[in-house]
Amino acid sequence: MTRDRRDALLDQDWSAVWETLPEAPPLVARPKTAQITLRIPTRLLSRIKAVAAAKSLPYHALARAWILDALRTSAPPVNSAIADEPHAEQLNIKLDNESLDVLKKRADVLRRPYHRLAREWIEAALTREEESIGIDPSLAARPAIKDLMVLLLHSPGRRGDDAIRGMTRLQKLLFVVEQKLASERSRFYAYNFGPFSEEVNDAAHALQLAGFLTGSEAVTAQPPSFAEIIATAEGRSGQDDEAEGQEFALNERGHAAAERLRKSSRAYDQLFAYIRQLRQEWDTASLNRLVDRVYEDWPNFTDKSLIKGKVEARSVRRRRS
Amino acid sequence: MTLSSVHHIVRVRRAEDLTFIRPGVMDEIIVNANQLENSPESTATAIQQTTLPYSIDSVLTRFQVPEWWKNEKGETKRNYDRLGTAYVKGTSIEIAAGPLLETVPSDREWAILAANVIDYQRNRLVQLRPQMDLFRPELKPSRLMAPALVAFTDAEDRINQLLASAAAEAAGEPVALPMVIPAERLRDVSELDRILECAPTDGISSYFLWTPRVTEELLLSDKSLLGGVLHLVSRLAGRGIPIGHMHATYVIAALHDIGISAVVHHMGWVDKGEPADENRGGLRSCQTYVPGVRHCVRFDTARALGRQLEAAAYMERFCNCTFCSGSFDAGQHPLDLLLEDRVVHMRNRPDRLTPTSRAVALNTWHYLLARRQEIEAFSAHPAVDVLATDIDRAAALAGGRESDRLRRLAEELQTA
Repeated sequence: MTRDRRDALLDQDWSAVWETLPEAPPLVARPKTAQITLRIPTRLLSRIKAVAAAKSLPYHALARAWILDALRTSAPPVNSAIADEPHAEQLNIKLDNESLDVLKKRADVLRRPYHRLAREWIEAALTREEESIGIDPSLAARPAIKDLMVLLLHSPGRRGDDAIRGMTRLQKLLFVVEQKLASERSRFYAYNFGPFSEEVNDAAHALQLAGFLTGSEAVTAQPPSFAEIIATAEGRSGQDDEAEGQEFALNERGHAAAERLRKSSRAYDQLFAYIRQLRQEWDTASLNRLVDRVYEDWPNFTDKSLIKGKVEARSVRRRRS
Repeated sequence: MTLSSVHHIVRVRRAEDLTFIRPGVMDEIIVNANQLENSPESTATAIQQTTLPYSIDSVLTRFQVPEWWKNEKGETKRNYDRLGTAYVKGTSIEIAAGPLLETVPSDREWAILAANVIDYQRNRLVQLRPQMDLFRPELKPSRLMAPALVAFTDAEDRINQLLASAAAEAAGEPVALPMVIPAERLRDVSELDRILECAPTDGISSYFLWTPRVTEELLLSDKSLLGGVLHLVSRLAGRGIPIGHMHATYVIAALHDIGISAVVHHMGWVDKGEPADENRGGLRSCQTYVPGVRHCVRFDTARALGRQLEAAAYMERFCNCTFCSGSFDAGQHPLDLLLEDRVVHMRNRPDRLTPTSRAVALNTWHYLLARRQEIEAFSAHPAVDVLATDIDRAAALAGGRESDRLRRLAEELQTA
């Protein structure tokens, strides 16, 4: 090209033509999918998991489907009911790049960060699904008694020993944990000996069947051998006279499961730390002292108690001395 | 003759039963919904650990008559309360307010109730899973069962028909249909034909007969009852849909040749004629199952029949299950463990003997293993051949009276 020709081209106004030129190909080919990471409150993640479990779907896939559905229907933005809660968990969602572009454009039009818009859409879809399935969000978001029990048994007791002796002590400690976490819609109710929940007995039995407690063997997918038959029978031989003598402690497998649970999310790690602290505070050497404190602090769970008078008399004596 | 095997299902009525569920001892379990409400976690764990297929019995019949769902104080039990709430979701039904037939106001609400029962079976074990189980394989029932009422009259027949079709529609797949027939109607062939007319075939994967309060002894001693069961089985067999029976006694397993392809029994060896009745507590009686005579007897009778037998004779005549043979291998007579009892001091009543907890556990295994052997025998051989062997065995163990009992059954089957 001659110098004159080059100058002539540079002098020309190309602005009108510029817009008509095709997009230059990317220097590096764009991947087909991209991942977005949403920071969400722990309670929201638990609710998503509960709905996903009820619908037999992986929760990541369900959350992605909700976002795509909102894009397809041009859903409006919604005000989050839980915007003030700390966003302690993260939810990774894979989207194809096209959808991500549409999400970004939509967020731009609505003048919202696209992460926030995606989170709000998920929350709105979740609420609709919970209503249609009949899941109470406040129940779905709280940890199961089995999870609380595993973390409680994983915490060291005051004497450095992690075993809990007797079903009464286990019931009362889990009641304290539940009340300290959130007391509304308690799974415990007033019964013959104060607060009680059959979910505690059920969870303890489940841990036993899974082979997570000391002295328990996991039920297996094999026909029973003679040795196993004898073992299950011997496991019951102490039940005739001493129901309260039962000891609850995790074995090696149980502690490994508890560690997996603790590490499963930041929320569970924090929950473990809190339960550990509660156990140090409440798991007193004397069972009577624990029962008395529970009766004093939560009198509405003692209405039907057959030992209320006895407990009150004991508390009065203790205060006097 | 080539026979298909009998599908062997064991009913779980209480949490303690979960210790005894194992492949090889049964093919499947059926869990009472009221028990599931009491212990969903342990039930889910046991199913996951054993990998056994499972289904759920909605126990809707328990809501049919107030006495059947109330406790001794006249209150609705918590587990029934929760169950009832799940079943009537989205309806105006007050489920524990009175007899169910009078409480449900319309056919539309019966249909919603049926859909709720199907939804319950599908979702109860996957909802609200603990965090520590979120990554375990999810549980799905092997079959969905239509809810059904005890068919006292034509009124229940009509509702049962409606419930069956609504359940199949809600399930989107064929469902198992329980047919709960009281003894009064079982004796009357014309009544049975009316029930059969109302039992649909479309959308039905299997029939499960249920004859409340009909014990094995009653079935053997009352020809009209056994005749009724034979009539039902032979008529249903003509439809080409598998037939199961919810109260799997030895007699019922023997009906394999004429059409029974699945049997269900619970873990109690004392036959009270109630296939799904929950254990209401109280002391257990000192009885054990004697496979040699195919029924349970009191501890002292069992001791007299089998304690003096050496290993070979015992296993030939009395029992050769894994527990009994293993016990001899370990140098101990099995009856010393099975018949272990203890004295319980009762307030204001005479002392009572009751089996120890260990003996109860061992008797449970012994009964399950023995019943498994019986069901396998009827799966592999014609009933008359199995009965011929068992008649000789009963005669060798206990003499003519016991063998006559089995001979009567053989005669009935040959006539059928």
